[in-house]
Amino acid sequence: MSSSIRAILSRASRSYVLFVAIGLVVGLTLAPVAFQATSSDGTVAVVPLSGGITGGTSASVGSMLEQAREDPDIEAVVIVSNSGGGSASASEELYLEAKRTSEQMPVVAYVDSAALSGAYYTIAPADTIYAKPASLVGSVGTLANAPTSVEPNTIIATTGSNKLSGGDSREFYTILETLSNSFYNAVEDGRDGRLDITRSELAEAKLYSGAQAVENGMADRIGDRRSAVRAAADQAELDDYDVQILRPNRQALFLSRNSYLASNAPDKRMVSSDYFFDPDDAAPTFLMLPGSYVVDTENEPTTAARNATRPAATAREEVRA
Amino acid sequence: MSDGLGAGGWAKRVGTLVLTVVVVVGIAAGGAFVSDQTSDDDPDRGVSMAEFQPENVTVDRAAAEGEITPDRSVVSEGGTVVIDDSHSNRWDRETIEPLVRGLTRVGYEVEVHQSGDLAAALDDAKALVVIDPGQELPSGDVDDIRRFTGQGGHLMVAGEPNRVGISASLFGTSLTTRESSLTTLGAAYGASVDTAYLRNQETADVNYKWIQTRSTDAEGMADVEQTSMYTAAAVRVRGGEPLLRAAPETRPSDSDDTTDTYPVAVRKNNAVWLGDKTFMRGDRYRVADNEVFLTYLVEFLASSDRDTSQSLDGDSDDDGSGGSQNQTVGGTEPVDSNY
Repeated sequence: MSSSIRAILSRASRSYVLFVAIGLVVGLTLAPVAFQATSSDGTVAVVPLSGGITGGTSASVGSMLEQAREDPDIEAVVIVSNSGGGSASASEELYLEAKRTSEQMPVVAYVDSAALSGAYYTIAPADTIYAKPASLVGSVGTLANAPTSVEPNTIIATTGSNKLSGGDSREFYTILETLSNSFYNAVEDGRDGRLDITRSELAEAKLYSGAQAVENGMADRIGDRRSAVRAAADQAELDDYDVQILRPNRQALFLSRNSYLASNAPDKRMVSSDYFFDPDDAAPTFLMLPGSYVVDTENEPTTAARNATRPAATAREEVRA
Repeated sequence: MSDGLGAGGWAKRVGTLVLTVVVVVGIAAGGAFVSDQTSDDDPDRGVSMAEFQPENVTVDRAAAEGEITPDRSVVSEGGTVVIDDSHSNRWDRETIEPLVRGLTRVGYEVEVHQSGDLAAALDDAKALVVIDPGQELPSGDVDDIRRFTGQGGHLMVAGEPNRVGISASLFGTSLTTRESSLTTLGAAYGASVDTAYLRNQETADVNYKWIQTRSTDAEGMADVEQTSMYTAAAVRVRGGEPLLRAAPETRPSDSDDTTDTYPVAVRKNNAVWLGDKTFMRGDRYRVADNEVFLTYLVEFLASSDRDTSQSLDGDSDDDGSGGSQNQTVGGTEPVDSNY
């Protein structure tokens, strides 16, 4: 028995079969390393910004941007926007994450359906902004429900005259303007002299089509997602590159059907405007959204009213100064 | 030991192994520490936030101080000012309180005309105030006002641009549009109040709809330097003299035209037309020089030389209509003797 095994090994050692087999094993083991070493100079990460911006969006997109910064293979980022903005606070957070990323690597933005208000804030630090004719850009500014004017009474006692109201209406508008000034500054800083409209015109919060945005400097070029990816690779000086599409870990909530339809987010749904805004709220909610997204002009019950979990509302009509 | 290593040989080898592990772990830990130092101590490394710094974002507001100080030497001796509330006028106590206070300080009574014959209400009045009517004044009332001003009575009209409001109720929100119904009264005086509000993104009191105005060289306006108006409309009066004009670069909400410097307060003879009612409200009349302009308006209303013994009907003081239903505010004696 042992002599027959020795004979087989002797034959094998003399033939090429064993060496080829060993060569295949070693070759296949090293192949991925060799492939990685020769096929790509780096990776362009695609980060989707989809739906209304909330703290969840901010955490999710922020995490993707952080991942891009920390992954040594990722050399550039493309932010794809299908968003009309959202919470002012969350939008500021995203702006800073995008800015932090742009300090480290090229960031290119592509406006798919929309980059409005808080979403435009987010992409403001991008080195280049791509848009297409049907893209909507702009609505730079802040809105909020004005706080209800209340004063301490026999039911609620306070230690200061503004403890209940937070201040008078001029104080409130001052806060609103301060938030917006930060926004305008960020846009001017990000566009770095490329805006062809004045600050006053920017503050008018108009919506622009992609073509108009390129014309007025709120975007740089007409192009699609591939254009943006290629530009990001060029800016990172990548001749050969991989594209890695990062996926959010949460459902995208859309206020705009326009963006909802355009988005390819795997998990998405439409939400009512009162998810973001309820004019009956006593405390202000600061939003960076186009007003048309949150003002329900049809006299139909809002979700909040349908749920009617609070005391029955009395009709309230406001025409503010 | 079968391999010939003694206890000392094994100890050296184990010691070498432990030392190697310690060195490797130490290097790794030291590297991690250095990495943490560079990332955590300066989380905003490379990110400037100049655009967010307070000095770059905070807003300067016009001071809100001062008081209405009408000069008693320029007003007529006592009288009554009627405030119209019979045409679905949109004002509340907060809107008129500073004006009423100014008038009572110079010894004037204020009557609120809520229903009935306007002529009867104006018979013994020196001045009439019409604020943001929600329905057009009928021709009879316009004729009465024309006769009233023809006899020397003073008229102050405060209009508003068209306003879009949000109505919220249990059944949802909806948009409603309000407009000052001043077409018939304005036509009788060659006056019109624009439907678009004025806006200015550069020169404003905090918000773009809170425009700043500059006074003209009109008589009595020397002490008014700058006022703030809150969602105001341009006012045009044929042959009138502008008292206040919107700051340069102000434009209507429906236009980008900045070529005009829009008048928001115009006087023609004994009628003054205003494009805003909010500037005289309790929480706004002190902003900038609003209180000085309101002083001008108080003096204007209280300086009529109308002879109240004249009837507006031309034949009788009592037209038999049963008079009007008025509420009286204030008194004939000055509230504050300092004025």
